[in-house]
Amino acid sequence: MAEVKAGRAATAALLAQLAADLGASLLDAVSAADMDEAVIVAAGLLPAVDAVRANGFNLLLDIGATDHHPLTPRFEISYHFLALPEDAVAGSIPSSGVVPARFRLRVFPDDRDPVVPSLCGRWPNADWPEREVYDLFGVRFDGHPDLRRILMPDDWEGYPLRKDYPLRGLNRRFNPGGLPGPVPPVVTK
Amino acid sequence: MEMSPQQPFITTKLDEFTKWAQTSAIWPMTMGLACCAIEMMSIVSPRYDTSRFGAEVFRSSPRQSDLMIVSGRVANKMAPILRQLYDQMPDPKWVISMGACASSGGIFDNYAVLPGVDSILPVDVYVPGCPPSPDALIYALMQLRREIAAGGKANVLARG
Repeated sequence: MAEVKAGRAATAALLAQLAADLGASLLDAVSAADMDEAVIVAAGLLPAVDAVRANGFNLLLDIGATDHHPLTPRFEISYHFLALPEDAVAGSIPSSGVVPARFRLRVFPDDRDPVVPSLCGRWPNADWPEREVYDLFGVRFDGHPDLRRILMPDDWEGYPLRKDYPLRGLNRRFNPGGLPGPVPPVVTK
Repeated sequence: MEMSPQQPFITTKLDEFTKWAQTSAIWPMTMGLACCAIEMMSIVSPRYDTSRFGAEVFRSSPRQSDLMIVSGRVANKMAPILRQLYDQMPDPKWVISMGACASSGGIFDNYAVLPGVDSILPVDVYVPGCPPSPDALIYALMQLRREIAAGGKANVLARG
């Protein structure tokens, strides 16, 4: 818990700046059990990311996605950031003993046409995680330089980690255990 | 085979001779799919030593192999590749399905893994286990040798 408390002090300034910069784009600021987080609209993602970076969060750890179907809004994209001390970035052992702060951004894109801005311009390492989210959830990333499938075969139909996708997939030559019939329509409220 | 004590030659039937050659020099293909491959690799180690049966030469090309050991779960993305490798192997050829995943999909009941490699390939011997011990794989090899000696080539043709 000491680590979480140390991180909270660093994120307080960030939350204040997000409230000032984003205005109505900032939907909620939550102090979750593991780290502070901000819920924002998709259009406010890039300004929010700039503010996150300006506050010392220099590492994009991961990009995650959740399908809350049948709840709505259905898709959630979550970004985890870490504020690594500068001497650690330079490659030496952190001398100050500062616990790196953590922060999370949560975005709920549109149900019917899920699109969020790509972070590849800010963090090149967003490339593959965004492709993975696109591959498995069908969420598109606007501005991604090479948005194509990364895990499933190129000719795969549908997005397997969506809640309305059949567990065994669709019956094809190399997927004989799958559901027979055509691709089921995407269920959206 | 018959050997005459007086004369320095052996008489045999051509079929018998072919089967003897096939059973005595099974060349597996170098191909590991998952954790079962770790157990498969150890069968050529001195402890298990399949060179006793002439099956220690893992070839790196399907064109030089006559045994495919499917050692792990087959992902959908891998299935067309596996089928192509099998088609590239010259006849006669045999397939051992090693472990629960290759034989039935194992614990993976989902969109990404084949429910058994026999849905895309003709399998000769199934080895149960998760993973099977190297002894079990050697036993499968022995079973395969018996199958070949009993007319495995005919089976291959019958299977098309």
